[in-house]
Amino acid sequence: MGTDGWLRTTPLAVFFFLGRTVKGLVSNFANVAASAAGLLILIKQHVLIAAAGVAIGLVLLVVVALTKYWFFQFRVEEDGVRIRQGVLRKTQLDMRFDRIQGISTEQSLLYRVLGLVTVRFTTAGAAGDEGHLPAVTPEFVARLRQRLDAKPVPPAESNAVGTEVLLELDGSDVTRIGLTDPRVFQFALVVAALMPAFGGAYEEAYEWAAKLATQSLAMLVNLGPLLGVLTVLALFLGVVLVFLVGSVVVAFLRYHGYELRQQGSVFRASAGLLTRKDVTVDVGKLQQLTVRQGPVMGWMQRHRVQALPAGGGPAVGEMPDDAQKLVVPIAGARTVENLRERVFGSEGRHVSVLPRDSRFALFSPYAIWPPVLWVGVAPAIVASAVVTTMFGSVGFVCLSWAVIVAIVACQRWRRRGYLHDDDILVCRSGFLGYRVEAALFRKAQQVSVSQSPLQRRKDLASLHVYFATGSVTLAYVDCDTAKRLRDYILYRAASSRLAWH
Amino acid sequence: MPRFPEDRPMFVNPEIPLDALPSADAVEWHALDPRFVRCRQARNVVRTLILFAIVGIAHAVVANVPKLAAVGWVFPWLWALGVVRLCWAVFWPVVDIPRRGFAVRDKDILYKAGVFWRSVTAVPYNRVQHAETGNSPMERRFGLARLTVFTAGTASGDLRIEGLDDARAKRLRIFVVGKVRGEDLGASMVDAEDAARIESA
Repeated sequence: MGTDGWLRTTPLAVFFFLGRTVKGLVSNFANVAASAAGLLILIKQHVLIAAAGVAIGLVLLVVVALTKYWFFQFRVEEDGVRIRQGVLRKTQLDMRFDRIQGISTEQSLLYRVLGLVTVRFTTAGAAGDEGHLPAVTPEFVARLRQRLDAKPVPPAESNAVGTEVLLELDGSDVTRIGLTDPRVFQFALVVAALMPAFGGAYEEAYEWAAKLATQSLAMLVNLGPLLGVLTVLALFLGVVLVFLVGSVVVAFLRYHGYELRQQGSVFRASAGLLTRKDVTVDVGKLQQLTVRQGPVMGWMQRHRVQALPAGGGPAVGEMPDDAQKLVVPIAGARTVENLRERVFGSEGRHVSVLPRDSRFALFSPYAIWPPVLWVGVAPAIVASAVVTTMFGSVGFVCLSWAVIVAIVACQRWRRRGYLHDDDILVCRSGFLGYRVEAALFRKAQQVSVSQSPLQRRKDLASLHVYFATGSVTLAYVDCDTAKRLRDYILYRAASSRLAWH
Repeated sequence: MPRFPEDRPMFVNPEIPLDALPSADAVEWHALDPRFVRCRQARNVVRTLILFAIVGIAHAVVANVPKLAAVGWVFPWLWALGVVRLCWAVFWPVVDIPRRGFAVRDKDILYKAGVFWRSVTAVPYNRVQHAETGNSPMERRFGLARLTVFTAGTASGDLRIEGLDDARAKRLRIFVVGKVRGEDLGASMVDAEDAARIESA
């Protein structure tokens, strides 16, 4: 208990501040690199001094965390929450209840055992989560939520009247999330590309496999080159398999017990095996709905949905914060459309956000020209001329770059498309998979129409619509269409009486 | 069952003819201040001269250190590039800046720019977070200022109109802030007599 009604959270909040301090140090690469280099040099020369340095560093971390905990105080008043913190630079944060748009919670394994949670407040217009209350009780959170809402809201754990469960993921769904992680696919491609670079390791593995095969299967002595191919394939599959298992484990850590609920105008998603996170987002605050479908997800007919609220985008130079946005890691077509209806309400009833919808209109094929010319043909000719001068006719191989770029540009053009009705704009893009962005016209912040020399000649234009969380670009559409859409969006943004956040 | 009045309709919901929406192209564009051309030329020349000084120092070092003589062939090319850059620095503002312009409407502010790649950007007043004016030492020397209109979000960037007369930039900022607050100031923030019309290219 502090002075004048100011409260301290439980002493276990020290772990929260310790984590934030370590995170702050690690996030600065220069700090980490300098410390690691210094420590390595010191360990080689003076082990004892290095050990003492590490111990002093750890003690300093704990002291900093304890000090931060001691000077962190909060007070809940009639009209809002006040948070005081800082040792040398003292700050006081006043958050009125009418500005707070959501309360998200996070529960690490330790806090789960001890029955505590960390609260994050999200407010309109803030670039990130504006305030934290570490290590408070769930009852305190429930009281805060009751204070925020006009009607009492039951605790997150209950499933009472007024709460509608939209989606629950079981073990097989979470396994699918791990298996469809696009990073696995990208990693497999990188491994396949790097296989020849590990010549030494490959030869060792080949020798080991050849020895094993010779000893155990005498009849396969004459397999020769086939055995080499099999070894490389087995190595590749082994590495990918290890990464897949790792990906599934990470998916379970993040999305085990995932549940998406709607309580009035509020979406609440909770998930996590060790650290359990509970994200609360107000529907009115949502700006953009993003639907992604990678090649593997497409094969499984599943999607990943992300809804970004105003202020949920990253501030300049910061990474996006998952605690700010609503993420549905895997969803079928019906769930995606259900989410669209709930996010946009009566607006945008005549469009679909499913990437394979047949109503998407393609952009002009002239969109293929600039990348082919500037990224493909021009560099290929220059490289071909330089390499041919230096190494002879082998330089003409460089021209194949133009063909590769042309194929990629064609594929990207085929994936791109747009559709709209009177309220909503939907834009599709992608290369191997799909990415669909949907946003309401009335929430646009800026609109721009641009034309390149080629577009002017072909009477085409690009329309850029900027929202609080990102932008949507319709590249290479008919010039008249782009200008009419721009004028209509300006009309909707200026005339709408509904709040945009 | 409520009775509807017979003499007048109880509820009016006229359809908006989309073709009748005001077009952002049908506006009178106001040119930037003519002094902005000289201001931009002066800035570009100063930057080019700094580059010349760096190349000159490097050239002198290479000429006096025998070990570096092998890279001496680079400098004729660098000087030639520098001369091209200097010509470009003087020539380009004459072409580029007259093609920029802005327009102030009742509901939004427009800005157009670009010689080869042209764009028209519009920001509705009810999306403006705040507006500010500022000027660099070079702009102050020419009596110019820039107006920046900030909107929410990080991806959109902000609308920046450079090359405005200092007084006009301040009046424009007051006008935009007034519009954001919902105050109709009722006066054009642009002087008609000194606003040269841009030839729509």
